[in-house]
Amino acid sequence: MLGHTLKSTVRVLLRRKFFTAVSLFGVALTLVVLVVAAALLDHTFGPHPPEVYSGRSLGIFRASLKGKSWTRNGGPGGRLLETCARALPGAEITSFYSAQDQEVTYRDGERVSLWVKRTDGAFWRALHFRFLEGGPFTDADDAAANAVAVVNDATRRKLFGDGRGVGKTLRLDGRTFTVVGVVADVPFLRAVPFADVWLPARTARSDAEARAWVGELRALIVARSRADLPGIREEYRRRVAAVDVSAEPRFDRLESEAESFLEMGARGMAGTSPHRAALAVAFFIALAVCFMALPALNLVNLALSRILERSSEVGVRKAFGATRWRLVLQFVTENVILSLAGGALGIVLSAGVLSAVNQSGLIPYAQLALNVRVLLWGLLATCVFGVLSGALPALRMSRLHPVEALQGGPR
Amino acid sequence: MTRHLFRLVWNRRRSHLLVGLEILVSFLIVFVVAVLSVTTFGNARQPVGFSVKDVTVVEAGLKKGMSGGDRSGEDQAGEDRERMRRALEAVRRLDGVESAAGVYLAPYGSGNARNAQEVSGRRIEYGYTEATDELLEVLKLQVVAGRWFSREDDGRPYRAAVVTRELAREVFGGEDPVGKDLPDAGGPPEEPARRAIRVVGVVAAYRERNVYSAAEPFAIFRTDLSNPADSAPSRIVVRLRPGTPRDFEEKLVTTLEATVGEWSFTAEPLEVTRDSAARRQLVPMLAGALVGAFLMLLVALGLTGVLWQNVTRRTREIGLRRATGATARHVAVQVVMEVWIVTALAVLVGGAVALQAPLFVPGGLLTAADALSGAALAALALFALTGLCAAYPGWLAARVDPSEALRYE
Amino acid sequence: MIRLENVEKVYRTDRIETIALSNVSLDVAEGEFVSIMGPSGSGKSTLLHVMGLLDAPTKGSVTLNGRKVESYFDAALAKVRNAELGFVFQTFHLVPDLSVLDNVEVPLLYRGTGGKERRKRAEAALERVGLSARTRHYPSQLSGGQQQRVAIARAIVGAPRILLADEPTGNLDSATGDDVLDLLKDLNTRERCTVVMVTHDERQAAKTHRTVRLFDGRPVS
Repeated sequence: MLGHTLKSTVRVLLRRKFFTAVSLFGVALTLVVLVVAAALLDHTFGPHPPEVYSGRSLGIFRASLKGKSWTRNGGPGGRLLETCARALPGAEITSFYSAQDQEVTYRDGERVSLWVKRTDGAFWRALHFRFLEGGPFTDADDAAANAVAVVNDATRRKLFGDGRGVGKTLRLDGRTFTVVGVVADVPFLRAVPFADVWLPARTARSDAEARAWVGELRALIVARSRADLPGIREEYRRRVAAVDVSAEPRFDRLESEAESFLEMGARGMAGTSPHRAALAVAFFIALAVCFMALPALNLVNLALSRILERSSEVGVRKAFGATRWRLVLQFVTENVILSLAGGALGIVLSAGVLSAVNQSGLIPYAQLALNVRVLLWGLLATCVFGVLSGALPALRMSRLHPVEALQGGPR
Repeated sequence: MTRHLFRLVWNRRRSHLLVGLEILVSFLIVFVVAVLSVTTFGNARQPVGFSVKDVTVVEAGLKKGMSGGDRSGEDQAGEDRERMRRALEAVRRLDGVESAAGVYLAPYGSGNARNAQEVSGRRIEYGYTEATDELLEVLKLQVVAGRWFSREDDGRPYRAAVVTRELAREVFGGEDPVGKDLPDAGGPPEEPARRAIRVVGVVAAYRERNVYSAAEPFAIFRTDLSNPADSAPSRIVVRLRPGTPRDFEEKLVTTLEATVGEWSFTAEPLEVTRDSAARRQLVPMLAGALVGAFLMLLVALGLTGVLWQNVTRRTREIGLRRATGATARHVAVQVVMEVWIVTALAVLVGGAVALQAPLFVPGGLLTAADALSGAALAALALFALTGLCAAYPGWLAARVDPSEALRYE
Repeated sequence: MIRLENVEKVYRTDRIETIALSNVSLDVAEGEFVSIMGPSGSGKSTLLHVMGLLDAPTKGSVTLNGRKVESYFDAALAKVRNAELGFVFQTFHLVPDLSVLDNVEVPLLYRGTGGKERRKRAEAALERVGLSARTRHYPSQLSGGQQQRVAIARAIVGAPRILLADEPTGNLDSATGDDVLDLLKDLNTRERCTVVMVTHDERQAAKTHRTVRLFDGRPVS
């Protein structure tokens, strides 16, 4: 029976090349978009090194000074973090670092622009970078404001050519830094670890950041276990609420939350007001539904056309003893096979698109990859697609009266 | 003829329903893309309200180990004002600098400051910055009513402010805003010396977030560096003489650090920050549009297939029409018209949904006019798309030979 | 073998009722070759469809092989059609996407016959109609007469006791038509198949045991 269905499917699909091609294209395209989106999400938020503790990490990315009507939004400042984020109960590692900033250095008189992050020593324990040469700078380096730097591999190549990086120097911000470590490139989209050059926080020439409630710093907190996360959020919120900012003109309270990276990303898209966030989420869901519905509808329409044309076949099969469910099974199998073929094509295409994105430099240091999880979900989605899009036309056709079917199908 | 076609479409409603649904969903997707393009590029054409060219932003911060120690916040603020005054003077003396002003937040920055309050039941929210008098020349702002703030406002019991047209309209409606006070729920009650914020003038626009963002209500409050009630700005915007090379930045920074030893400075042209902000906004939109375009290609191919199939299935009907005197043209037009009727119905339903969109987009970011032109664009695109899809099947139908068709089983 | 009692068939649409068969009673004995004749619209095909359980009568009853058809549930009918009946149509109705052999195998599929057995029996049926050389061809590569032979092979592959043929020669020229009729006659005499055939052709009707004439949905004699 299966052999017969397969044989007939292959013939049907080969005889109607246009329909087959369009259906394959539709399934493949949908899958490509899904896989690329999933790869981007995974690439940005997934648990990949250096963020080895991402399952039990929280970040502090935003802070607001608020008054009755006045608001000042930004990242947390040093004063806020020192007051509220140190030694939270349940925290194993607490690291403060600056948002990356674009700074300029010169190589043989040529301007080289670099993303610079200033971090403490704990940063290197909270994140496990892969060191190609040397190692990280330490808390002691930071405390003494030693002029040392860690650079990524791309920067090493840009500044020092093919030779080793450790021991070389680079001038940034009016000071000369000695390279103590070289790490593998970290993708741009991984906002927490990403930079070209990492410098000790206290080498900054200004301590405006350290004195501010709202500024451009970030905190990364690794908890002892996942179970400690709610407690850390709660304690941080409590401490922030207790801060007295009445010395600031116009402002009377601080607001800041410890949140996961995914929450931070979602908030970045949706904005801060909960009303707006809900609307934005609804909008994205609606758009995603439309996006999924369209190829599905397209596939249903094509399958319907393909099956309508074969009403005589439906009539004959019925006359010779096929039950409704047999026919539904046959048409659904056809569509599932078609979808799976489209799925396979989609996976090949996705791999191509991902490597093209990686190589294009559109996203600096992108390492988008097809992973097994994404693939399996994609395949599952494809099968569901095939069953759904095949079932509707099949049900409609199988309900057809045999005499009507023999006479050429529904009008 | 049209009535006949309507009846034909109605009689085949079951098979047309799914095609109609597909067109409806396509319409909604095209609508979203169209509205985004209309608003985005509409915004991009709007005046930003200031001139970006030859402007550099210098950010100032207190150097390490130079913190104020145990001095009170008020002493600190006074020192900061004095330092900023010296810094501005030094910059203005530099050859190549046309003008310089101190500001609280510069355009296209990452942080923002906002004021939101209820005024007689309406929520009014606006962004603001604070600046010294020279901002007018540095950013070449266009004052459209009243005047720019100036020394005239020294020692007054109010704080002078210039607002954008949007803010004036939102707060004062049709009334002349000049001379009126902005409503202010105020800071904590114990704050000393609360001053009213008086509007002295209106500027055309001040779109400081992004090239593609909508014009929004904005206010610029006056900072008087000799007034103890004002806090010192932390950024300097500098207008350079046209054609000044970029390495002038370095001279700027060294001069400033020599003048105010306690502070460190970093400089960045405003054009650079503007472009990177624009790119952040544009790239996801382009990706979305690309996906949308592929989806439409998919729909077009699918629809062509369905219509083609339809024509083949109805060869007998077409043959009959030809036999009873329909020309090849009639037949082809019929195929296209049938699809257009389905499209029209789908667009009607989709349009009704789409025109509700302004009610759900917060902050009045989507005007009814924009939604309407987005819907019109989307409708046009879909009629073109479905017409194109019907063209080949229509041509096939026109070629049907009546005698062949009537024999066809 | 086949017994129709007071069968009535009425087609209802929104506004009109069409009476296709009214009060038809008919007995076909085992081994009989019966032809049904009548002008267009007299209900010949409807009668055949009712006999073949492709269509349910509005009133009256159908008895096949001594078993009265009580319910017209899809699955039950499918089983009876598969086991007891073989159909031949005027327009052949071969599945264009299947080879000749696969087309003939179709009825056996719905019986759960194993692949090897199916092949063996399909080949035997094709040999019976004289087409064993064409098993790998597709319907579009065959002439009309050959296609109808394939259709007959498909009808007999499951060894049904009743063959129902709806104008089997209607789309064929007279010489080919005669060949097909001879084949049916041969099946009737040698295989003891009961055959009911709708035809337009007096000459062919004359070759059958008995002719039932229909006029406006009623038998006339």
